Amino acid sequence: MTAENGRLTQARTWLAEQRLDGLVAFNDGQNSFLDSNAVYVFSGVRPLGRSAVVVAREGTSILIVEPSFDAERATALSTAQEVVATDDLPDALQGALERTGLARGNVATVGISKQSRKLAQQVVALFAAPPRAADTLASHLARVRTKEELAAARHATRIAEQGYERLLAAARPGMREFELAADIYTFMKGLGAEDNFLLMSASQHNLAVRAAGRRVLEEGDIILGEITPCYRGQFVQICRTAVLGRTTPLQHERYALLQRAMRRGMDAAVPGATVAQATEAMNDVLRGAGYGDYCRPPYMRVRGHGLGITSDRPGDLNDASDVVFEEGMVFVMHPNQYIPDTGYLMCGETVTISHNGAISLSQRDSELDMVAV
Amino acid sequence: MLTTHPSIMLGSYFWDEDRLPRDEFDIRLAPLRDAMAGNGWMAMLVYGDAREHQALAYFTNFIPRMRWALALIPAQGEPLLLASMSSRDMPAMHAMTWVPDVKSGWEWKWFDAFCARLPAGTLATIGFDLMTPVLFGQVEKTIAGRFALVEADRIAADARSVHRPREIALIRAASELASAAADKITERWRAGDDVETAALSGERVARDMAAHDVRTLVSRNGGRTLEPYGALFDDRPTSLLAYVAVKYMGYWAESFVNLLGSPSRAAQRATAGLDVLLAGLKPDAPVHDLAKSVDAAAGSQHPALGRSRGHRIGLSPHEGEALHVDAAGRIAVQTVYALRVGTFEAETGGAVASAMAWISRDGTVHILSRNDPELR
Repeated sequence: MTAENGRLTQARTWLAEQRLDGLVAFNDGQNSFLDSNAVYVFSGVRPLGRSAVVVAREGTSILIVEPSFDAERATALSTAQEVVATDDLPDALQGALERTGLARGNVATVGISKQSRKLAQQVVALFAAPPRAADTLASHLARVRTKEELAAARHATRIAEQGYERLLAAARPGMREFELAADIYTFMKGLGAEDNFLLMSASQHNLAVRAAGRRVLEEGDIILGEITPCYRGQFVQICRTAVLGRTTPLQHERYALLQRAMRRGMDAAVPGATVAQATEAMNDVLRGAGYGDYCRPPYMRVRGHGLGITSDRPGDLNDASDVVFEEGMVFVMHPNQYIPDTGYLMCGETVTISHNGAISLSQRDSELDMVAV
Repeated sequence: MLTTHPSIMLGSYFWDEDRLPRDEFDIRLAPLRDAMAGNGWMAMLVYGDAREHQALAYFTNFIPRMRWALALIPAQGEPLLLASMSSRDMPAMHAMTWVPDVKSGWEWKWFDAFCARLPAGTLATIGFDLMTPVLFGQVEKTIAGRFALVEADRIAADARSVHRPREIALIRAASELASAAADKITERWRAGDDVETAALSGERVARDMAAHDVRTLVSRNGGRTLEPYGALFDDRPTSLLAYVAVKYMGYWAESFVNLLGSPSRAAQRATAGLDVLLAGLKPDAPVHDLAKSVDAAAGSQHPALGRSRGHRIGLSPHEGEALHVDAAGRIAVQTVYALRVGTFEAETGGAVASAMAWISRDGTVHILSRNDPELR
């Protein structure tokens, strides 16, 4: 049985517990590296357009995808029992709900709040009684990665590291940011990355990382990379910093702070600990060095976050989160930080929670690197 | 063609004042200002997200690379743009639009403050059907008791009924990138690459030319179906059928690439159908009649292409006005169309001929690109 079928089984158990007749999960074809894609979780298919998975508690599961030309691919990948490819999702959904009896049943919806108002209104009108919103169900059920998903995450991390090695080899003064991004993006795509939330920018003094623009790289630039490939539904992220030219002792000294914060955060992220505890462990290092005033936006955003498209748990790593770590969770931890005398620096790894703390999926954890010019 | 939407749109995004100066946007905004004055509306709110943002981009030049953005255009005074990004991202967001004031949409106080400055009345909305129920709820909460909302999508559509000259110039530029990508796909496939490796080479060429986005579809079965990038690299059918769409400075262009192992009747019919389609592109020509004549020349459309023989293209890969036999519209001047005629035969596979074209007011057909099936 595949992981996706396992999640459908879990969903049926949940439906029984909640005394519901079925559920309908939605996605609009947009994929966020921060969010769960409920259709992917329940069907194994990353849809091109609007899509839904209909699960009858005691009956069939039906994947509905737009457009109609995607029928063959969706059928080959889907773990749902039936596949309907259509150019009119509401119409096909109505047919599926009538056929399964769910149009008059007690039904939950997953992800409807992230669809367009128009579709949400059309969907509600298909039910005799208003469905119950269970928008976080897919994310909750998938919060711990399966063995196959963890293997895919490890592969994705290797792609990310190779992408960064490519960046170190390709970057040179005179190149525009978008040209460097094009190089490493297509390189990682060639290694199997089906998507990539790639932020990569450079400056003599960065305030944050952003998507590559048309700035021309100069000697002395600090290149920041938030490299986030997706492989078989598993986004991972590594955060890297490289200097175009010689690094300075001060840069190394400041970077070592981030590395210490990272180690402290990883040690604190044990099963049963809260996200806030791990966040505070990282912040403590930076506060201890006198940078407490900068442990807040806009000098940083969060100390890490969950990764789509399977599950966004444990959510944002911040000092207010009482989410509890569970063994097998996968997320990125990154004590990225603005420091007045170096600018923004990035240091982060995708980690998985083990019984004695977070384990990095990277083969080589982040160092302050130098690109010879 | 619907393709996989990326988690973030990579590329050289910025407001190029030389290609699209501020006065261009004054002209574009004039119909909105007229509508506000004529109807006594206090402001117009234009919504767009990463997937569909044609109206937002038309009026502001802003394209959300991810999530959403909302332009608040008052009847009097300068607009405000809310982008769903953190406050530290605002400098980068500001570089993508002429709108002088860009704020984080995560801080709803900016929307509240904008509304507080307006006299009570009516706000007109564009693109609000695309908005999530949650965000719409936030809007409703702010305006409760002070403003009514009225839907004004028609006004935006009328304002954009034809492509402006600067738009056509940019679509032409995008078309050159799409053609360069298509040429590279052809070159690499002829050199022995599998379909995905060839498509990736085409994508790289367009990205090096400052594309905003590149989408591809490939056929693994010699032209029977099309599918998105799957990183499989394992198929090299006897024929190549691929689709590439490129966005440049906000504007899309597209092309099919079709190389055949041997001459086929399907390919001849596709080319003949495209000839008929281009010959029939006349100002005010009924779309129904045109589509019917293409059907007569080429037979029914390739199943992977849907029913349509083409549509408007520009700030969206599909700006509407689909060309099929049930369409009631007429061919418009000053409007760029993406055209495709596909055929499929079980014995020989599929074939697609494609073009991008527009008609000037004097009736001249300008072909921006054309790609017919050819022997490999």
